[in-house]
Amino acid sequence: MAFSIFFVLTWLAVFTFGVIQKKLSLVENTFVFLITLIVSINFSWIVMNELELIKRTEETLPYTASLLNRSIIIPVLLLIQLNMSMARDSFLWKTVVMLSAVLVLVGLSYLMTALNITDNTDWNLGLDAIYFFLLNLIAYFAYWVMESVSEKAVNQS
Amino acid sequence: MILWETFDQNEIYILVALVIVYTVFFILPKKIPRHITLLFLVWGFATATFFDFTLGGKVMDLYSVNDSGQYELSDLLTYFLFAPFSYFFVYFYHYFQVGRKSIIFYIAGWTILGILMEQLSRFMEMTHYGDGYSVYFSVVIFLGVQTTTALYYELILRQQRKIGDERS
Repeated sequence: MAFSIFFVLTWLAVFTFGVIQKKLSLVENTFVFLITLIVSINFSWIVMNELELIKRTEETLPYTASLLNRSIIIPVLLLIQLNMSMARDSFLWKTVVMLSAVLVLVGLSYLMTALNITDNTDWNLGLDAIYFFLLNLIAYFAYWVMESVSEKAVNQS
Repeated sequence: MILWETFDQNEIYILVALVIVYTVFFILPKKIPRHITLLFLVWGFATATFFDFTLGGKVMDLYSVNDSGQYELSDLLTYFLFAPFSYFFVYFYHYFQVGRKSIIFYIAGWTILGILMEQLSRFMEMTHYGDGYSVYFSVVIFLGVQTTTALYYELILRQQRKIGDERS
């Protein structure tokens, strides 16, 4: 069941990203996706396997559900958040969108524990919220880096 | 996280390979825009990270890199080693003006090169195949990754041309 739920959520996230109006270019979206993917993979490995703060099931299908969350859902949700927040210049709008994204991501972490995919032995949802907030900032930073480099490339041509 | 279990031939191999690969990266005349260069460096890093932590991760455990199952600094350096290869792939794709007729040969050539590099990495004890893993799986991975990279690069080129046409 855990796999099916996370498969549907993956499909939903990818489909939503596919249909929303993109404010970022293809290159910017890909760059942000790859950076958040790298951070997400490394963070989950370090927290689960190196520090053992979160225990993860070793049953194949629930484990695959956690891989879907780590490698697709989290980076794609951050892309949706970034594209939505760029739709308006208002600081309030950007803050609301970012906090909503953090809330959804924390909700997914809760779902992982509720479905016995993970067991937060020495971890809690508050720490998850801090991590997802920082991950959102990393997504913004990655976008800013790519935008700066792209502008230089346009100015030089 | 540890630096390494024992500093031996695989660490020396990674450091020497890093020096060679990044020297080539900086020496090559710049033919690709900076933002595309940056994107494909990250593409290579992310691809290596993704496969290592997915196929080489806990449950599947099909292969491992370096000395131990722990996250080593040498693992991180290994991903940095992969980064310029994606750039070289698109660089020479651009340089040789690979088209519809030559793309199969181009990808096949890179797959052979990838397999040879992997065998060298095995010999230097950087890569270790797990039980049930064989070089044939690597052929599938290399073909898949390189085809995706080529198609994605073509998509970017099309978008850039479209933007260029709209501006002119």
